[in-house]
Amino acid sequence: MAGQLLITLPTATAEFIPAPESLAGLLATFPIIWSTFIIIVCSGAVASEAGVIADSILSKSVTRYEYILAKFSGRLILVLGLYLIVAIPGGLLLASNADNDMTNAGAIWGIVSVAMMLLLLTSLSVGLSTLFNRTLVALMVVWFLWYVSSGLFALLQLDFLSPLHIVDTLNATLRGDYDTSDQVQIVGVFGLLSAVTITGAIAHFARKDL
Amino acid sequence: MSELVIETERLTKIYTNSYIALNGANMAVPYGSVYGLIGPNGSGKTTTIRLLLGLHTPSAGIAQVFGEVMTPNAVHLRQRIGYLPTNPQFPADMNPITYLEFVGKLFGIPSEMRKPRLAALLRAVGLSSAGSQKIKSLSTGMKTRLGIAASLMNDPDLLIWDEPTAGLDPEGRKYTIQLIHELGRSKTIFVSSHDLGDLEKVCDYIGILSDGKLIFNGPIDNMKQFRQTNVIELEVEGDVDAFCTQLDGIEWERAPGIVRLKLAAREDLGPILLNVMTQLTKSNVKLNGLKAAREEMVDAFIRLMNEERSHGFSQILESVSGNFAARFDEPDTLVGRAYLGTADGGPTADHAADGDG
Repeated sequence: MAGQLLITLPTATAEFIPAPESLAGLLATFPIIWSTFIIIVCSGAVASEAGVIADSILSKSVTRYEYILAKFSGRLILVLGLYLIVAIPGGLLLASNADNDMTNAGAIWGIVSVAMMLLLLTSLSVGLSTLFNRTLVALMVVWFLWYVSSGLFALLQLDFLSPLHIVDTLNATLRGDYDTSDQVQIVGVFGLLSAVTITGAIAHFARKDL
Repeated sequence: MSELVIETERLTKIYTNSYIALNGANMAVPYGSVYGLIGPNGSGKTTTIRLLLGLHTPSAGIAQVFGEVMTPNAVHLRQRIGYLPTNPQFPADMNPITYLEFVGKLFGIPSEMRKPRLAALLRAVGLSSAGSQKIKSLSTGMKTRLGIAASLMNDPDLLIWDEPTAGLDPEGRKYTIQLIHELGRSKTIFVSSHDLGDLEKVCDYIGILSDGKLIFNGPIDNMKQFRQTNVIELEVEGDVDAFCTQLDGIEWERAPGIVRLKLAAREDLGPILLNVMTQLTKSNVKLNGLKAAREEMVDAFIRLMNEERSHGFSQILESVSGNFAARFDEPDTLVGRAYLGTADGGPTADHAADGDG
């Protein structure tokens, strides 16, 4: 991921690719390409431990809440941490280019909207991992949901929920060509969906037979 | 403090509305006792244990441990429990030292206590030299011993061991039984097995599960009365056919060189044996050896359970109407006989009125 940053930025400078396109390209790799890696890492959070979780951990002095919250927080820190490590320096470096037409507010909204997508993807992956005892099943379900969701939301005329639509509009957002209410809607809805997913998963796991 | 460490009331577990794993079990485990839960595979032993640990939630009824209802988040209760699962699973990449260190941390044991304790436990279970080996490379016996060490890491008041002798060689089984005997002096132990022979000598109380139904719960001495048959095995040579025809009124069966006599447990064996010896002499049969055995207690109980099933429909109606307690006072029922047969009452007899086994 750091390598990606090192490749993207000099290429953008050498070929005079405008800063918004460069940063949009960089950010877009997370929901489009790195999402598979995120799904793999997060879908096994609970499912991969199904055989040993009860014997080794939850038969001891650990509550279900402690266990599942640790899983959520660990994966969220990993995914969002790696994303921000790439996105923030990338944004700052590109913004420092004198010829760029990227606005600061646009850059922040762009980075935040992708972060919210990753927040939902991570929550969904860990949450569904509590439902299944097999990592592969959890992984396939999340992967299917994530990549099918764009088409589904377009059909339902809920474009603001579609990861592909958000990626398509990143370039304009970074230039400052956005409606603030749309950005608030993206952040609010993705945040709400993540909160519902996490709460539902915790409630389910608290009563699950292990 | 409650005198009962474990108490269950009509504890029931039905999985996804399709499989009844445990059916209305009433159990009582007194403080400081060794309680053996016996039953064939699939009878509900592990389900019972998981309910007692809060790893499963009951479909009906309650499980109390240390006088409190066990729930998935009752960590203060689990803090006092040491659990050994059947064929314990461990994080594969850990070694015994890091695993026990991890278990100690889960129990919140301070480092200055954790390190010496894990070292002492590894030594006690004979794993000192394997302390740095990856757990996945350990044998089944070594993994069981590691599980035993992990179950003792928090110095628990109650040990719950699920089939600790499963998969062990005879030496390993002997070691484990001896360990239960020694630990039973200072702790309450709840141990399950499909083989009563393993536990008969170390248990004070016994529960027998069959198809999810607890068909007996009480002192082991009370169970012994249900053994109905003495088997006397005669190793003979000579005219065995002639000898057998003389055994009037005695149930017998033949095997090469062996005649087995099956006698009712409560019969006076003296005159019967005298008659058998007389017939041996008369038939010119040489007696090379003699062995006495009793019917296995579990077999006796399964037989008795089948007898009960034959008039079980009325009991189902009783159960549905909630009239459990009456059965304990009825000498004609299995449970009633078990409890009325208690000479000194005992802790479980006090709880007999709580429900049926």
